[in-house]
Amino acid sequence: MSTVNPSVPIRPLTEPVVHGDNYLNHQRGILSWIFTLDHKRIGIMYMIGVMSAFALGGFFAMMLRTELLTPGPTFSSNATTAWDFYNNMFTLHGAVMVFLFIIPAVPAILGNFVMPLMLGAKDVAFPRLNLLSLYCWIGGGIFFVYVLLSGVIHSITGFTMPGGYGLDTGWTFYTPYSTTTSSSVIAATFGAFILGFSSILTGVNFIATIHTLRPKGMTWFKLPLFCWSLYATSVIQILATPVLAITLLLLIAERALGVGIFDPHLGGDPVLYQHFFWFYSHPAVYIMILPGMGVISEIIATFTHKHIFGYKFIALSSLAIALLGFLVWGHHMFVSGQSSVTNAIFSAITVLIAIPSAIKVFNWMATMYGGSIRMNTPFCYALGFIGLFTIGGLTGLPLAAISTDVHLTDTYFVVAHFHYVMVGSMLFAFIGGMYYWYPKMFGKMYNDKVGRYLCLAVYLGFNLTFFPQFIAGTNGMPRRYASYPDQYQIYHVLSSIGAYSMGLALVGVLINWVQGLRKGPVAAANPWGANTLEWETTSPPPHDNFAVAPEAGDPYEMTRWKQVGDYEWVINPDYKPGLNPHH
Amino acid sequence: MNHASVDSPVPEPALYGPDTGHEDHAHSPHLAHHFDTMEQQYDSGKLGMWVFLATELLMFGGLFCAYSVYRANHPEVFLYAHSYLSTMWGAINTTVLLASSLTMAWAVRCSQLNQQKALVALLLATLVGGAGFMCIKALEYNHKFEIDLGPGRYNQYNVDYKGNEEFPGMTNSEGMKALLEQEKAFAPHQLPIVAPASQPSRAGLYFDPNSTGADKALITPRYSADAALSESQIPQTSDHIGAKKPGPESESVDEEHDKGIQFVDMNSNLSRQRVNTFFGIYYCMTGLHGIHVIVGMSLIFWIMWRAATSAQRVWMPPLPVLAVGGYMIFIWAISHVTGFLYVGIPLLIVGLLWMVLRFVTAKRSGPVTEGEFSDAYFVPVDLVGLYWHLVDLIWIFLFPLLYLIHGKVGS
Amino acid sequence: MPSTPSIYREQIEGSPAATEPAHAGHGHDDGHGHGPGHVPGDLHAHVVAPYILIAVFAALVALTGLTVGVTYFDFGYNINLIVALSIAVVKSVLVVLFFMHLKWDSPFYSFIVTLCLVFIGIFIIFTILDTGAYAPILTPTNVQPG
Repeated sequence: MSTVNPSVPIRPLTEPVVHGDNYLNHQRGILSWIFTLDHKRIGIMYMIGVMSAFALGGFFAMMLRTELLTPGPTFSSNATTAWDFYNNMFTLHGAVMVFLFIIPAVPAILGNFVMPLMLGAKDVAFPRLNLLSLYCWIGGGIFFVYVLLSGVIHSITGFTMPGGYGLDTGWTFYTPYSTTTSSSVIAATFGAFILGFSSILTGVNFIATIHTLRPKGMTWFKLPLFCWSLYATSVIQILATPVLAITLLLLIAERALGVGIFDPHLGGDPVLYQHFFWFYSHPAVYIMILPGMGVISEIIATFTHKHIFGYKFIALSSLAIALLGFLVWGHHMFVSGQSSVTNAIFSAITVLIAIPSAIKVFNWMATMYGGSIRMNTPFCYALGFIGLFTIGGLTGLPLAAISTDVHLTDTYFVVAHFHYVMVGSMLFAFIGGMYYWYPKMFGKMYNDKVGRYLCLAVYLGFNLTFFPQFIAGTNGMPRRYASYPDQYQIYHVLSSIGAYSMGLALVGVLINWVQGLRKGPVAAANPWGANTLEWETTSPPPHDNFAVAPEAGDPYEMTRWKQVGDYEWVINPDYKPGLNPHH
Repeated sequence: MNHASVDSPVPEPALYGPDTGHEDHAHSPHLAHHFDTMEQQYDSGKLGMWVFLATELLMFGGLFCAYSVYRANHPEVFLYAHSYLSTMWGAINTTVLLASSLTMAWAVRCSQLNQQKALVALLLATLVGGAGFMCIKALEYNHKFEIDLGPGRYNQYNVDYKGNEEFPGMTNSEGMKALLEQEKAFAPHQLPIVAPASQPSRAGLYFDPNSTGADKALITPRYSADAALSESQIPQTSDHIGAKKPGPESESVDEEHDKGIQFVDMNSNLSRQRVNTFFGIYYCMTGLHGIHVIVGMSLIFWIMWRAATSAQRVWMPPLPVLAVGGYMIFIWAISHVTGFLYVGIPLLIVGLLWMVLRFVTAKRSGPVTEGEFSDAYFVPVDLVGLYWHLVDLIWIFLFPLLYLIHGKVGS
Repeated sequence: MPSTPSIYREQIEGSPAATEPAHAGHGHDDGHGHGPGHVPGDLHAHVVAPYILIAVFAALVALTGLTVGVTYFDFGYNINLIVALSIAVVKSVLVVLFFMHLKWDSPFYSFIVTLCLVFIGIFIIFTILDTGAYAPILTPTNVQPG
């Protein structure tokens, strides 16, 4: 019998995971889920909703890519009907993906589930507010489903529901078209308004949680980088989302009452709408990407089994990106009538944001250097993130420079740029994070080999979809156009084939996860050898998260753990603090 | 230091889980299971509330931005149009809201000192203040609706204005139609001002310190073309203002003057759409603020309920019904829209009956249970108080920015 | 069936003391110096004195009167605006510091408010600059009614 190492604290046994008492079987029945206050259950419910929204947005993408296979109308013999349908498809694709999927994805799912565990806490600061956030998300989703249904009903029966049908303004709702079109703008904007509250309440919750629920010993600079990124994201959510709320309210007032703030016919200023809209929507893209960057920091440190390089730089660069992101909204308006002085200021500050982003990328690469790399699925996605984020970020520079932007704006170059950062970076980070915390959330392991092949498939499909769009854009193909001259067709066909492939690969990812749940082996408490606190409890965690509160140390002190199986690490009995050679 | 606070984490390891001997010492029943001490919970709640107030500030900040943009670029519009707002009522509203802020802050103090009766009384006083604010607001809004100065297309300055068939409360429909006909004959820069000489005097509703005697009730803008603009600002186009009005129009002006309608020549920068935009901004800002007042009042009522003893809770539930019913009747009284009466009277009757019922069936014996708040737990009062003060804060800025605009443009 | 997962492999095989709670012996004092049986709920929060509340209220009403009274004097449009805004700022500082208790609270809350105002300021200033720059090219569209 081995003797207990006296320097390692005695902790209670962790029970066999799936059959023991954990948050999934702690209480049974649908009502215990609907009215739960458990952040883990709320995270799982968000996951189901947000992934369904992703599927819906993806469906719209398939529709619009199919329309674009040929220059002529595809979904109807009547060209006008086909173009109207296309307008609805790209608008709903954008709105559903932005508001229902990408803004909530990492914070609401992974943040809600993992962050309190990372802090050794029992829950977030305001569990009921967390539940309200979820309800707001569902409420906003219902409005978008209403918009979709109104369009479907109209196209099948010709009946127009109150408020109009469909949505054809683009996800940006630019005035004066959005104030005068007959589509159901009010329903969609009100839905986005409610989703904004979901975002705000999550931000409030996370800021309070990180401030007051940290354990003893976890100073600010011992916080895991995922928490730092969530904190920076929450700051943006707090400061930016209310401006979207008021913008949408003013838009609704304009449509419903005829208040003339944005519509020139009524005395308003349409460029003012764009100022209002982009003051939120540019920081919103940082709401999208920062949590993903936090996930990548965790994955890279874990799978290189090394202390993250430049911890303070990564932490502070998250805050820098958050704050700088508020100063650049005008770069979406270079050709909208903005004055040239304003153009120049925004252009200059936009270029500056490349700096903290690059700091992160270089720190990740420095972390990998000399590390002991394991190519598990999460790490494959992280590698994909780094490459694709670099491309996405670098292609932002010709868009930041006004002289090139006037040629590239509103072309497919912009579309490709933001898809590289939103899909190539953010979606990869999200999927990587899901793979990374999957064993913790469900207590099962998925098939890692299949996961890696699927990562390659997603990566190839993604690049086939969006890289031709860079070329089409520089050659002049405008965005949001349903029809085009024949010379652009090759790019559209490649892009559509890529889209179908990526869609299939993503379905494969879903199957990979479901099969893991059904047939996968039981997961250990710490399958990856990471040192953040969520790995010191069972997989899946009990209802109260920890049997005994863990003590906080350096979250990247990987040598505290010792590998004993393929996906099993235990506390290293020979660990002595301060002797980590990779520190 | 043994207390957790906003800036530093919990000082002692958390103790939780099923078998950790937690039952051997008491803790406040208000302590949530995921917090370790009441102090941590208090700090957390306060931080959460301040962060939420930050979002409210940013939301109104957006409206202030719209206001600033339009005022900075068209100061003459604001100078002209704001005189339709009553400074007196605005100032009274400000004072009412400040008083309610005082009673709210005092109520927080009472909750911290276990002064239960004073707490409920002061919360009630705060509610009265909020209700008073909403009544004055209804007065102001109603007066504007009656002279076709509503929001958006219910405003005579809106290009889509269809006359007063759309809003049943508007009076003088024949006059309005005549006004619109007349307007077509005028050059675009000429704008009508409705002086309701043919309507019952609304003494006290509009206060114009420059006018004297019986004309005090008239809506006469203090801005007049000659005084407000310097010579260099008058654009040298064919339709610029002059001291004299062109020939045929002056006759119709005299005619209209007899009908009680005045017309004033304005600078061509003053387009009617821009005046309409002023009213749009006014209604959006005060309307959103009013919604926040109502939300605040609901929160205060909820806190009052929790703070009440069982004896006080007898009369509390019917109060909102009575209040809403009374408010509807008040609106009917000032606007004469019968729909409000049909809603208000039943509500009032139901409320009164309910109140009587509660008094009659109230338990006369037995111990009076205490309210929920004490020196050990007063956080909800504190947090709702913060929200109410924010509502007051926003009005402190709205009042001078909307009601107190004056000065010569360009100086 | 995989073996029992545990992060402390050494303790799995026969460590009977493994379920002992980590928290050491607990006395009856709740750590706040209140003695046994006392509910540790005293938050030791700062209570505002009544004279402060009344004095602030009086100042606020006086400032309201001042801001109305000042409208009877014309110092020029811009100065009028600055005066009105300054009085409003003073009033709001009084409300925030005393009614909202920020004078006695953690300075972090003041930081939150300041940060908000900075961002609102950035939004307003940039937007005024830009709209002002293109305002001259916007002409009022004098549309006839109907």
